[in-house]
Amino acid sequence: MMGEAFVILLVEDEPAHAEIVRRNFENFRLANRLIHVPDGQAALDYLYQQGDYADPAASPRPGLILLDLRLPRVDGLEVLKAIKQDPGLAAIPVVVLTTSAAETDMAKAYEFHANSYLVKPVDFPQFLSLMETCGYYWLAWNKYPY
Amino acid sequence: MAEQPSLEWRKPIGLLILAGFLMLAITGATADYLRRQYREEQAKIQTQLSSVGELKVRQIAQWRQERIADALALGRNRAFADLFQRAQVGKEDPKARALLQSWLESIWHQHAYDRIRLLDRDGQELLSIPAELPKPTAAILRGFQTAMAEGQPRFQDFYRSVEDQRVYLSIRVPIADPRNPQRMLGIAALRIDPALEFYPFISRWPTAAQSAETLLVKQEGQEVLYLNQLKFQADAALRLRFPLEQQDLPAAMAVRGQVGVVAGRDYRGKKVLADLRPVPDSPWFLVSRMDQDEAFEPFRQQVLGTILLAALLMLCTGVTIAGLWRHQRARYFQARYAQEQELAWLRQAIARSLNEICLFDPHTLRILFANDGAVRNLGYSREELVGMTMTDFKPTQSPDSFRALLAPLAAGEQETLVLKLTHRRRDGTEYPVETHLQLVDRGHGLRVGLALMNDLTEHQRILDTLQFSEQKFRTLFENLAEGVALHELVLDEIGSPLDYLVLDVNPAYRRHTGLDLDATRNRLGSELYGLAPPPYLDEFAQVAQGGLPYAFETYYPPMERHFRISVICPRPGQFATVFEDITERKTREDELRQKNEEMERFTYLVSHDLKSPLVTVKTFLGYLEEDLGKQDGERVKKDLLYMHGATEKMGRLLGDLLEVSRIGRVVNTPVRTSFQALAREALGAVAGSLALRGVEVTLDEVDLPLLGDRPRLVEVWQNLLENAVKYMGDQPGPRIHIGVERVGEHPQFFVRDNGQGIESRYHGKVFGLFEKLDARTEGTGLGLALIKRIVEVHGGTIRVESEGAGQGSCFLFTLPKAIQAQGEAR
Repeated sequence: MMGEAFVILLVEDEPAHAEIVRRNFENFRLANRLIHVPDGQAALDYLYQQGDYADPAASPRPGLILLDLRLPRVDGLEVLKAIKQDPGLAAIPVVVLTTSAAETDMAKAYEFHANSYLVKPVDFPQFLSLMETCGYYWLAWNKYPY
Repeated sequence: MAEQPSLEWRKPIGLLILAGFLMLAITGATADYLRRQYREEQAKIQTQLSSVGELKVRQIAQWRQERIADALALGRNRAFADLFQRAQVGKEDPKARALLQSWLESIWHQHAYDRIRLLDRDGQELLSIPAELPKPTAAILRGFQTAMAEGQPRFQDFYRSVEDQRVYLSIRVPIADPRNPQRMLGIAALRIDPALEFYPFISRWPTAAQSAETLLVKQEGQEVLYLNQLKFQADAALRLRFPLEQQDLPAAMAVRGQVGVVAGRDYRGKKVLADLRPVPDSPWFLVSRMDQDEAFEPFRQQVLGTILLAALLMLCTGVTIAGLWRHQRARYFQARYAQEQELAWLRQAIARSLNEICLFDPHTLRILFANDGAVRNLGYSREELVGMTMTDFKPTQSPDSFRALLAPLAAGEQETLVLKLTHRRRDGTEYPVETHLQLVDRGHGLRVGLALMNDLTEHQRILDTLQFSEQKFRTLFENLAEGVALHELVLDEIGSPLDYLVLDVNPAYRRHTGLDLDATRNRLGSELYGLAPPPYLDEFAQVAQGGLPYAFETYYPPMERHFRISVICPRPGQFATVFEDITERKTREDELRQKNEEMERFTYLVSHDLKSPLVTVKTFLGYLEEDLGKQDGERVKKDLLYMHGATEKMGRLLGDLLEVSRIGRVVNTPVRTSFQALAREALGAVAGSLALRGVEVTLDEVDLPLLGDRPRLVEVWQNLLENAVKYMGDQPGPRIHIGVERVGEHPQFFVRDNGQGIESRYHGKVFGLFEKLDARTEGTGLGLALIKRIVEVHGGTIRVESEGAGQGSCFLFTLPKAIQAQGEAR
């Protein structure tokens, strides 16, 4: 059901959080498809295959983007805006995954056409449950045209 | 006073002229009609008369010819002559005699002759019809001889017979000898009795006219002789005669040779019309006449009818005109009645008026008339008042002073006088009055004083109340802290608001605006504020025209002040504005909003950035439990590492937060220091890391005295130096320069390095709270935010200059308050 190159792009500045996501994806045997970039600029470079990610073979187009909001250099919301304003990228589902439960952030994210907004729970079992549900939802149940 | 229509009774000249004109027209038309009718009638009668005359004359002439023809038939007849010879006396031929007898009898019968005699040339009668006639007279016999001598048959004109005194005509026919026509054998005398045929024929008239008749006349000597029997005079034939000279007698005119229709007087002396003409081959004249009375009778009838009709018309016209006249008079009297009613009503109104009204003699000042109002107000009866003078109830006026007051009226300099006077009632109480004085012309050069007096007691009370109220509000107006201004809206030709006029402003207005009070009144808004259209015209116009109050807050750039403006509409087209200077409040509000925003952002960031390591710790604690259970040593070590990192981060974060919150809140006592001292202290603090990275540091030799929170100011340079070292990147020959330069108003400090540099798009972001450009570097992202706060506390600004990645960067900042404070302290 999923194409050969189904890649998940994780945009996360906090290495610890990236590790949490990676560990969860291991459960789905998808960890090898998870590509982690540490900031907004890097995410954009990856998507546009430029800078450090100029090699198209090493940076395949992702099928899903997990996006943190507080990012160095280019802010997560700006990344989201750039993706959704680009007709070539707008179709990629973007799941905002952040510690921020601020209403302004949520409103902004949906204004910029985020496909989902998830708040990282402080509680461990909840975080696990969220990642599991999120994984099932986006990787098993959700249908993609490619 | 109601308008008085002029009510003079004017003679209806127009109506009279109209009537006259109509009468004239009717009369003229009638006369003209009658004249034409008369002419027509006359022509008709003339035609009738002349045709009758012509017919008769022709018939008479014919009759005469027939008679002559009869005579010739006997006188020139050979057979008759033979018979005559044979029957002559002496021959006694009875046969011939009988033949003659029957011949003559047939003529006698046929032609209605009266009698016929046959005589021989010696006057012996041969025979007669009827027989046995008396012997002819000698005169007749002489006539016979004359006729025989002439040898021609001839008419013996009308004559009166001596025998019976009747009028006859006769024809004498000589009978010629057939063998010798010159010789006469005898004579036949045919007598005609005109009464039998001729007279009736003459007197016959073709119409039924009563007075019409035909006369046959002839001249005899110097007279005119009537030959026939007349209608109105018996036995006139050959007896009635008139002198030929009688001018207007138609018969005489005919004999005198006049022909045609004439007017005249006939034998009866009556006015007649007559046709005159001679009868050919005879001495006779025919007069066909008719009485004018009868001839014009139908015309007279017509005249009468016409005149009656005209009279009727005139009567109608007269009646109509008279009706109109009456109507006008009725209207006039109606109007007069209404006017008098009005006058009566006015008189009553004046008498009953609440105002005091008096008429007085301007010389003696005696009251001539006082109305009910005066009676009621003054408390005197009307009779008492009329005996008094005007000054009797005016305690402040003497007769002389009052007359002096009237002087300008008497001199005609003024029409009316309005005075405030005092009246005293009969009971001695006094009250103020407003008196209108006037001298009214009464005709015949007489003038009467008219005084109209208004009790001002109530008026005065209201005035006092108003004055008190006015004073109250005036005081309020003058002392109000808010600026108040009253305006009137100025409209253009099509009614759109164009400008406004300042009517009044209070002192507070001047304080707020700085505009001079006297300079503002009656000036246009556009002039006053130097703006066209003037400020807030639309808002003000809406209130002035709509009437609903409106309030708004606004910043007025020309004065750099904030105002709260309340606009109300005291009357249409005007508006009052109440200005409240809210600049201070606004500034506070702005500051507060700024702080709030900052606070909000701060809490947001704190919650996020503190939550982030918390999530890490809690999650990895979970993993740690799992991994411990699984006895996975590698994983346990990793988990602990992540937790360690997170807690450390939290610790740093809390420390920095404390710092940030202290800036501006906790202020150390300002002390004197200098640029050199601060820079050197900072260099000392970071000497370790500078040496570690091998950075070459240079410092401007210039010094600048400063006054401020020394530890904080040191922190600025220290942090900038730490930053420079942290972002030196792979630079093989790292260098940092600390300096100060005078650019513009304030001295500008700077720290320049040749490290990584910053892309221009991040130049604004670097100073934000918790902003980091590189996720991998140490630090909380609060360093530059801290510096910025300190600089701002000292009234300065900070910015970064960098050519881009790898080009190094330079942080520049000012500290005006520290320098100013130094200047003041000196």
